[in-house]
Amino acid sequence: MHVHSGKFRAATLACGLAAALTAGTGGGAAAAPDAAPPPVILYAWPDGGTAQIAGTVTPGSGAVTQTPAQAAALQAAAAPGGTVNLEAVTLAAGEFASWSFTASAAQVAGGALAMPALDATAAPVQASDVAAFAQSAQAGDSPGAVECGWVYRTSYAPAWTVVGGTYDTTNNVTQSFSYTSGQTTTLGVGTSASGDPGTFSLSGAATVSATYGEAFPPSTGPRNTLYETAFSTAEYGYTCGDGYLSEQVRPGAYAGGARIAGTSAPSAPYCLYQIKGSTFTKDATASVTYSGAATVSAIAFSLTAQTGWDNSASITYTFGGGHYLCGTDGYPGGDPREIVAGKV
Amino acid sequence: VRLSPARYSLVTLALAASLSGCHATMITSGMLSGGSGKGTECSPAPRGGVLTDGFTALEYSGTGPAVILSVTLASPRNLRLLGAWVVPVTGHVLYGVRSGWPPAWARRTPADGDQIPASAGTQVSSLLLVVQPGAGTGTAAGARVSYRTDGQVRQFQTQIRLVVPDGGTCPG
Repeated sequence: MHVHSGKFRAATLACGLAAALTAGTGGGAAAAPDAAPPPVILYAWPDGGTAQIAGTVTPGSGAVTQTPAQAAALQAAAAPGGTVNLEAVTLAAGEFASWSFTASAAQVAGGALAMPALDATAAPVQASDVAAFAQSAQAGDSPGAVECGWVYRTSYAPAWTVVGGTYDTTNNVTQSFSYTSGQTTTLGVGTSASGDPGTFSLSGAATVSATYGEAFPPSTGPRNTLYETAFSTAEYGYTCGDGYLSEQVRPGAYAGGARIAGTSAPSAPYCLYQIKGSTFTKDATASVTYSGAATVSAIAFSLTAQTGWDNSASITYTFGGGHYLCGTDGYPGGDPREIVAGKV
Repeated sequence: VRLSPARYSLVTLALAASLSGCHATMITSGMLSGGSGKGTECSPAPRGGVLTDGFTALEYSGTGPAVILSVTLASPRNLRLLGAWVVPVTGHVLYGVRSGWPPAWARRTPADGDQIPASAGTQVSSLLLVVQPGAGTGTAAGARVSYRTDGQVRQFQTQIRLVVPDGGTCPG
């Protein structure tokens, strides 16, 4: 049974979430002017597991409060590469908002922890019993227990997900894409008040590491290619014991597989000439975020994906003849985002 | 479902939100940049000849002029830098990577001592490096550029590794 309904105030609660996490500013953008700032609960999502509370943010202080057990859980939730998938949940009077993000091991070891790209898409939910939970959480060391949290609901079939793209508009150029073990891809997280198909909206992202590599065949000549592999997804419900205040679909494990799809070349005005016999390999730069990179068809949710080119993923262009190499947003040696062989 | 007791001890982690949609983005100016991209550029030079690497775009957006003090190869192995020039980019096309020496354009100036004027927007120039490998293959970790702006000497290194076979071929 769902206990929520109604009006959403995403922008105000999202910025309230921001303010609650920023020292000295206080939160409560969505609460009454004289109300205390809403509490913010920080969850850690281990690979393939359910969220564990990693602490709470003291309203207005910018500080996270953790028990030793929670700190240990945060470290245990880290992926082999050291990244930790986190989620901030805040509860104002009658509302709920969450934002998922990834932090490096260094970030959670101390110092400032940035929450990138938190925006008005954080999804709030109205619920009759949220205020009671907020009071419980704000009480801090009260003897009462926090009864609320995420619970697993169901899994969905692995979704093919775009993790890279190469584009060639000319002859005599070979394009290839490498995606090997350890490579990380950041995938969108969707949150819905009702859980009904078509109602999920983006509420941050989580990072998944590939546990093995995939071989994609190179191609020569004019062809524009998107490279896809698969990730499982699972749905969780946020409950305080009676129904669900919110539902969330998150990427789970790397499922693997290799598939290519045709596409069209983007406009790429930033060009330079490559001599015959030359090669260019691009790595270690966050590539473009592919909107609609995958669709969880059961709930009609299209999620985003971004794979950074690093030592475990790269694109290579090999020039059998002299041609131009162009970037969509900058020169190939800078931050081109997408790269196209041949002038478009 | 009971996830955790609500007993919270003191802070071990500080959070500072950097939040799009809730405040403005900070813009850094006054810095000369050769791009942050990482990767490897392999281009063969004619056997015993030279290669011009015009792969790097220099971008500058300072309010005062920047003066390039020196351009060197970073961690070169079997690769010599014979010359370095700067050419303003008027369109969106860099010289790129080509055999031989670059044309002697009128606006081409030696990189060392080149002054990049202040501009309301971003000034883009093409850095041209003429390199020559020894027998076999020459490599460098990138180009290292020292410059002075606002009375301070700064330095950056490009992150595109350079591989130059001497008359050979690049691995496919």
